[in-house]
Amino acid sequence: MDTCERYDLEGDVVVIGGSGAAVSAALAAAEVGAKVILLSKGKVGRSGNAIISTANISMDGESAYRMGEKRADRRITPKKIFEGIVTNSFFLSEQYHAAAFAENCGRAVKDFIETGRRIGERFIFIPPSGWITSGRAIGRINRYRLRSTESVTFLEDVMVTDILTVRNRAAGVLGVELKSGRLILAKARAVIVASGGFQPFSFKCTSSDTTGDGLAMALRAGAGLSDMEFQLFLPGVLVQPLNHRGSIFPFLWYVGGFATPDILDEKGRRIIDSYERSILEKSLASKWFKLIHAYYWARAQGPLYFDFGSVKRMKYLVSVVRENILLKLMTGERWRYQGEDFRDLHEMVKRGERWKVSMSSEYSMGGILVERNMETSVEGLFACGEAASGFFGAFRGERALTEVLIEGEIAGREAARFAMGSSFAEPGREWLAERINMIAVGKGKEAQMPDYFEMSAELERLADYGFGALRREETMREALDGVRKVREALDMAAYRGVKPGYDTLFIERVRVENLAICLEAGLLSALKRRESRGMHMRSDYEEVDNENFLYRSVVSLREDGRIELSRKKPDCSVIEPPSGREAGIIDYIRRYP
Amino acid sequence: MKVYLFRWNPRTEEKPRYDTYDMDLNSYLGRREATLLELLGLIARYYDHSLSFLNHSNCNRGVCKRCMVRLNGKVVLACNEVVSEGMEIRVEPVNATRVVRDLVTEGL
Repeated sequence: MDTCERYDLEGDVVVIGGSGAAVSAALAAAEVGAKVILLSKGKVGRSGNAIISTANISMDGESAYRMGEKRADRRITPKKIFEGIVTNSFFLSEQYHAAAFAENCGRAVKDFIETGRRIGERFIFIPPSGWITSGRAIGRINRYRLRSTESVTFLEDVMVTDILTVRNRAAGVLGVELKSGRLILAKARAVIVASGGFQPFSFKCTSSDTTGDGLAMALRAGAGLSDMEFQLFLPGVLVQPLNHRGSIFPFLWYVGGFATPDILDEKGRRIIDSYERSILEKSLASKWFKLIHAYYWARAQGPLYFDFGSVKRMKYLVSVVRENILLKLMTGERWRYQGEDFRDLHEMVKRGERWKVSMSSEYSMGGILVERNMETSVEGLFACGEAASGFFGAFRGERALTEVLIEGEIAGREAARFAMGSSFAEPGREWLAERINMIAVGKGKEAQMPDYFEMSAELERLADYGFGALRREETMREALDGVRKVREALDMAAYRGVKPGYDTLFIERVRVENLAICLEAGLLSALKRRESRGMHMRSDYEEVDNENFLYRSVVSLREDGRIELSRKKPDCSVIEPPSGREAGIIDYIRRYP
Repeated sequence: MKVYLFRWNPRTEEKPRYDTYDMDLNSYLGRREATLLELLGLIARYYDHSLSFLNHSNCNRGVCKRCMVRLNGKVVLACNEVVSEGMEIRVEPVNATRVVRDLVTEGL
């Protein structure tokens, strides 16, 4: 029989993930003196969503000025940054997280940029106080950072499937090395989940890593998930041409201040005409950009088009030149953004053709519920970056790449301190053997396995139907029923153990299980929130209702496998949240800078 | 369209083979074109769940380069290579001497 080997290792801290948050956490833990094991589902520096992001990082103006950027706006104080995060979050951000960010972003970003420049990466200053580089550069810098220390052992292409616990205390993880099928048992005193968010929809602008593994594992281990109803929809993702399907290039073109296209619906109507005048200007030059456009795009029927018909030819050509200057500065190459050559899009414009665009979910504001020190309710289990929640609340304007640096640092340091001061929790032998069997041997008869690919497609269909950018009671309820059916079927289903060599079916099954649990958590939280707030937009409840819904939704897993919902008040010790109701999201935005 | 696909599990099979798939893209996608990565996903979903292609950590934007395969002998990134109805294609691993399984190789 073709069975798998097992590889055991032991460290003080295990970090799950391979992008910015994971690397920052691993380095911070190593600095405190911990022996760290990092397990990454993909290749460090070539996986996760950071490498395909807009790749901007930012700090306060004074710190930027001190880095020699004379154009830095010193009025962007840590206090302003703090207020920006909290108001963007619709007051669901834990204010202690936002304060830690505002206080530390200057130092953390400076370190990151200096490390990057040392290995020849480019950072272009963008006023008032940020820099842009390429996703590739972010990846290379993270890889370099990780390799610069010997206290971190890292294994790649390892899909962690379980967090081991003993009496509500983290004890290590179990996973599979995907190319060999070898089982990995990593015992540790503390575990940090830094494996990103979840993306359940069919139309994607994210990496295929984004399956909510860390969230689902943490939930199964006993931690809570929070803010799961808030997915960030990015307006301006290419649907066609097909070779660029899922690219955020149109978004970047639009916010980059290049020749502005008309955004038309299928009937040729300019959707800008449906925008409230007062909000139009704000949409361009502010951190509200994504939310304002998402609000109107979600209400337009069908796909949208970037149409350059009314743009003067010369103006367009000048924009193309400017775009290429920026690309050259960012990456050293012209025409190419991320890994793609976009000359064909410009050719389309020349021929009078339009870019077909839509919205796509790029980020999960929700994630694992953590305390101030990034620890979960499970002792020794920590989370940071996109996998954690509590920082961006209902809406994130920007700063995702900066946030991971700071949260990673805190999680790494705190996990290491915890680990160094405690002994190993030894999982019971029988219990461990059972967990291992579930991966290596499977359950039931192989011939009776359901079609996991079909289930995966069903989940995407349900997410599109009920969990999209504009929601209402009926469709959410239907989608929730559907997801519960999938989860019940999964509970009953037979599956076989992982096979040596790359096992596509095993990967698909784990993906389905994790996405299903995240989607159920998201839908349940969304259903109970009978208001609109940030990226949770409802056509049946348009009001922002601070009287009844200024809380964070928390889900936890009951013994019987059902998901339970509770509420948590966010920390509002610095800025008092608004009271009463706003007529809608746009009215809320109007009140804040 | 017609797809000749390299298949090999070096642990259990002595030598590689080519499986042939006659596919009507339109019936699955409602369009006559697909990226090569989408096409491989369709084959795994509708024809053979055991097909291995690197799918756990793809950026889909040509950055990570992990979906690299040979299309009619030429090395391409499956994520932004478009194939369409009427084509006859041969899909193989980048390096047939380092096959883990089917299109997945060591070193990528």
